[in-house]
Amino acid sequence: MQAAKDTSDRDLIQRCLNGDRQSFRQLYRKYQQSVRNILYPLCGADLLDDLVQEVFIRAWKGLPRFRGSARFSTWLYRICWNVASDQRRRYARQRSQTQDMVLSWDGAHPGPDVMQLHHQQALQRGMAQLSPEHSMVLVLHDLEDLPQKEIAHILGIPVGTVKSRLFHARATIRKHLIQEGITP
Amino acid sequence: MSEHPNPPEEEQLRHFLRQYRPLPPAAAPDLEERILRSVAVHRPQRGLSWRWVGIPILLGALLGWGGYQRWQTQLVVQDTEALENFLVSTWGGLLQEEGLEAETWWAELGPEGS
Repeated sequence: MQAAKDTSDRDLIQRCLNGDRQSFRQLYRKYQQSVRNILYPLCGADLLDDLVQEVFIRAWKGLPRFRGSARFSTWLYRICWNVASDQRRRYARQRSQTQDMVLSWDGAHPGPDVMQLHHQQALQRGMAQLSPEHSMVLVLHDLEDLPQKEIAHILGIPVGTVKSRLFHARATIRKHLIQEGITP
Repeated sequence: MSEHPNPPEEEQLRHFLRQYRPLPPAAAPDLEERILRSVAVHRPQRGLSWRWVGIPILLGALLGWGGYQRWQTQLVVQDTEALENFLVSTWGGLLQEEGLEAETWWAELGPEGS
């Protein structure tokens, strides 16, 4: 199944390289939700569409340099990380980014009941305490379900570093939730 | 997907994260078209292949090396010719002077010396 998906991606990429934008539209539709899921915890909601656009434009421009030794998704998530890092650097130069992110999250998606909303906001505040590096590992592993080896490849770090960042991120989140009176 | 089974508390936390994860807002309705319009403006940028950079550099280096060798050879030839000419002229002069002496020594002796 994965092989078929990768082959299909390779076909689409080859068509894109021949100038077929409709194939790129298919790639966009296939991966845009994952890209949004990764960027949102890192950068918030305000510029999300712009950042998603930047990711896909960088991907389009860089397609000739995609060697196919890794999966397309791995390469694309690496671009996500680069775009998110650039954005956070821009934010850091202007103001406290953590406050902005919490504000941009608050009320973005009120849950169906108060307890749901309380848990969501507590988790958002907990994730806002993480560094981008720890947050990215947590999102990719625990939310996007990527294996540690692939995460290591995406971020260009050893698998051992992925493990330690995951451990630290989970510990931080757990500690924060307990402080808010939530036992996950 | 994890390489090792997580302890129960890790699984509980993971379940909590998935249940209450911050969900991104829906994309703007025109985002897809915006992206497609943007890629219409930009063309995929082929990176500078090593063939397009390496081959000219290699050719340039080879030509430079060849030219240098040729120049060196010409210098050696010129030097050799100059040295040869110098030796011939110097040696020839010596031989000529010795030859003159050899031809005239007996004339200086006169008839009584014979």
